[in-house]
Amino acid sequence: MELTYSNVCPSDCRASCRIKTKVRNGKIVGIKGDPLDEYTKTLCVKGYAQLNKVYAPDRIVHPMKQNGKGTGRWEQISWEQALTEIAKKLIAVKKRNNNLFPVCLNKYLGNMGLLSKSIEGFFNSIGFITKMVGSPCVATGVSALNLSFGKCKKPFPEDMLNADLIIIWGGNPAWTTTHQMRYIFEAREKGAKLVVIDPVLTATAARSDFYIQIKPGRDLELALGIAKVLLDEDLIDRDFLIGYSNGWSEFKALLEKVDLAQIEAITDISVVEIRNLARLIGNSKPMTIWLGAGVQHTATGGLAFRVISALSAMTGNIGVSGGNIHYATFEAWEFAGEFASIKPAGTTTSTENKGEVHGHRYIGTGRFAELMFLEPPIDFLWVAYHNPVAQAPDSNAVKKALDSIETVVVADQFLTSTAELADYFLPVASHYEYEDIVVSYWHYGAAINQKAIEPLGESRSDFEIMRELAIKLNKLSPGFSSFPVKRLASDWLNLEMEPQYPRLGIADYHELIDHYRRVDLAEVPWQDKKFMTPSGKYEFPLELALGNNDLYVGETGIYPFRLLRTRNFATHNSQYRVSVCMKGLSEKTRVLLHPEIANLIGVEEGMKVKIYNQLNEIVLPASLSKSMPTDIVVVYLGCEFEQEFEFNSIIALVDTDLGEEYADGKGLAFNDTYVNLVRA
Amino acid sequence: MLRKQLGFLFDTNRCLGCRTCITACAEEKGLPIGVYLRNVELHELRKGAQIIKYYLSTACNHCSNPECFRLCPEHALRKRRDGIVLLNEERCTGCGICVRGCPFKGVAMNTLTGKAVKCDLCQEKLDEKKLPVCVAACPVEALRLIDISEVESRNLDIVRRLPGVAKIQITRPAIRYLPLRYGKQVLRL
Repeated sequence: MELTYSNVCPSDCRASCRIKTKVRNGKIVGIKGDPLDEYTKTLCVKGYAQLNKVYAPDRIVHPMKQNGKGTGRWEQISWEQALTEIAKKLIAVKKRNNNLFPVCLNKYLGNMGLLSKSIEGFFNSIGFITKMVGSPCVATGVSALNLSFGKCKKPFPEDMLNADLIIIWGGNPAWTTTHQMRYIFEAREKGAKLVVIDPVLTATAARSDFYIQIKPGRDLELALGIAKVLLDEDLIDRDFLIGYSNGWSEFKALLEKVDLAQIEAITDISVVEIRNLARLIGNSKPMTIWLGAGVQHTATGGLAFRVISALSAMTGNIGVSGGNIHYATFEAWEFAGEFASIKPAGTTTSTENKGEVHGHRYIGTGRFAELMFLEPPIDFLWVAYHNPVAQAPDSNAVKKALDSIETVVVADQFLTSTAELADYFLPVASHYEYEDIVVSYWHYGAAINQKAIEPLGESRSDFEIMRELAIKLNKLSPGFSSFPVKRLASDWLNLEMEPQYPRLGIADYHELIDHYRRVDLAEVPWQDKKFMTPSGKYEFPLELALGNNDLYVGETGIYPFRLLRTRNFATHNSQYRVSVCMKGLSEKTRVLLHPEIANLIGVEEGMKVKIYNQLNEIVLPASLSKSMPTDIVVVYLGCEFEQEFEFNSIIALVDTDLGEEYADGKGLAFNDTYVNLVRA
Repeated sequence: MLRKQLGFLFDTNRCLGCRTCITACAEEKGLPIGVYLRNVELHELRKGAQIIKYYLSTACNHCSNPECFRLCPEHALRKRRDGIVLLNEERCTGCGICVRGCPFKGVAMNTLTGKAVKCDLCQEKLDEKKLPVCVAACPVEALRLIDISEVESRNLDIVRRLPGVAKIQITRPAIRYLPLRYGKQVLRL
């Protein structure tokens, strides 16, 4: 018998595609895009390959214990043994220290389902621990836009259709947000122009009307140059500036001091072309800007976001259809608070207050080296939905930290490079194997994951793992966890979704099976021009003072090539790296460089190049590309990898300039890594 | 009237190089991991100071004069009245002559069955008046199904070859392209 189920991809991706899953005799036999999905309709290259990922031969479906981290001496154990031993470790930590700060949770974005919050919920239920929080990415961008607008809001993705000029700055939607390209092409057919600003000629840039090859990390300066021209040539919207902004006169005074010749020298874009771009921006209405992750992964990314968004403000493109900034908003998630509001047993804080009790010790995400110097030290680490050895900067520092921790538990589907350093591996069910809900942060669609098949082998959802662990803990040490173990997954989903039902126009989340529903945010934000800043106005970035050291910073690297790590069409961070499902499609990890550079170091296509800096050296095959600038090399993140070393072992941990306003720490400037090359 | 010849119209100005067409096809056909019936190639060439960069997605071109047809010792290939070139798996011995002989890399070896496998333009779907999977899955409609003879008779703005791609016309491939456009590029000083 063949049955069809509704599913949704839970990746940290703008699309959150709805999926129609065909199941025959308990096995998935087909996955397709769901035509009900008003935004995506079809899946992406990774979406269609998910079938192979679910049944991949390298997926681990039994609990395992490793006798010695990194030894590869894994033995299959029962859930009973795994949970009992892990529970005893937690109980011992508390007994030894009288608190649970030596317990650390590193949960990240491998699954955006609501039930994944049960992991935080569980750890909230046992006491105050050490949590790795924040974001290497959106911390910078959201903080920047919060400072300018008071809140990070964005239009519906379809509002791009109404634009006359679309600027994609530091992003490559052709590979990361393929569905959006449909709207971009449609807007162009109606006459809109597409500008792409990027250090490399990406798949998106190659299809643009106007491509600006900016020097990496110089977004802030280019934006200042454009703003200067807008001011000089009177291409500004006085009504907006006088009525709805704050700090314009100071920002204007700053712009008057900007020297375009200096901007040309810094950005490598001629004054003539800066003027051309500024005139295009000033004379096209409405104009919209897509702010990409490339900008926020640089040391001045936060300020760059603020000045780029100031271009929209100066030209009166805020609060109008076809205008605004397309970046991200988390307004569609401003409801899910049930798991977060679980309080540790015995906490006296009023239960009236939703939200997390702030008693935890917080460490910024990615900063694993810091774990080794804490007092009390970390004895127990739980890693969920994350592969920090592959994803965080300075892989060797991450490995060292994992090695120093007595007990490391990794819950995952594959034996990732982080799991290789674990003591316990807990097999997590795929999103086809338990019920859950995903709400898109891009098009705000809410979609359900029905349980289409039984969990493979002994794998379990994270929710089941956490619930069973709470039961086990309380059995061994009554009252250890306040996790409400009697509540079923469906009860939790209902609790989390209840405040959301009126916003979705449904009465029960199962209605999502047959209906596309979108959280009722405004199609166009800021139409009333009432900003959520303390002044109620749009805030120009006043911390900028031209000529001081924050601006015009010199190159920080002592190595001659800037290394950019970008996403490949077939990868999603490291999520498809260990699985064979992309075999033959996602190329092996290579280093992209200009033929002149290859010639200089004496390598040809496919030959091995040693890439080194102060952190490490790695060897990758060369891939020559005429479109690469001569001072940049690019490595695609998360491609097939056979080498013993980690690519991120040469990625430096560099803070961005903003982050605390949104997260508890600064973002990470992955793109501020410099290297040298020699023939290997 | 010319004989019907189904084929692809490919828009290089839309293709994102995202490879969705490849995995959507592999999923539909239930191919083993690593076996694909479609291929996406990056083309990069210089034109003066500009760099022309585009992606080209190809599968079997359902040639009017198919090389596989000519080469196969088992006569396992045939051409439907609408131009679709079909491979009869029962006759195929897996010798691989067609895989090596196709100038468009349009035939693959199925590692599971040990036999050749190629695009059949989703003939069953066509018979149900549905689109081939690659065409339906493309997020930007870069691939379209056309009747080559019909399109050519209408004299649309289409071309038979793209810059930087070897001109192979002897087999008369049933693929046409929209001419490549490119914008202004401001490369670094």
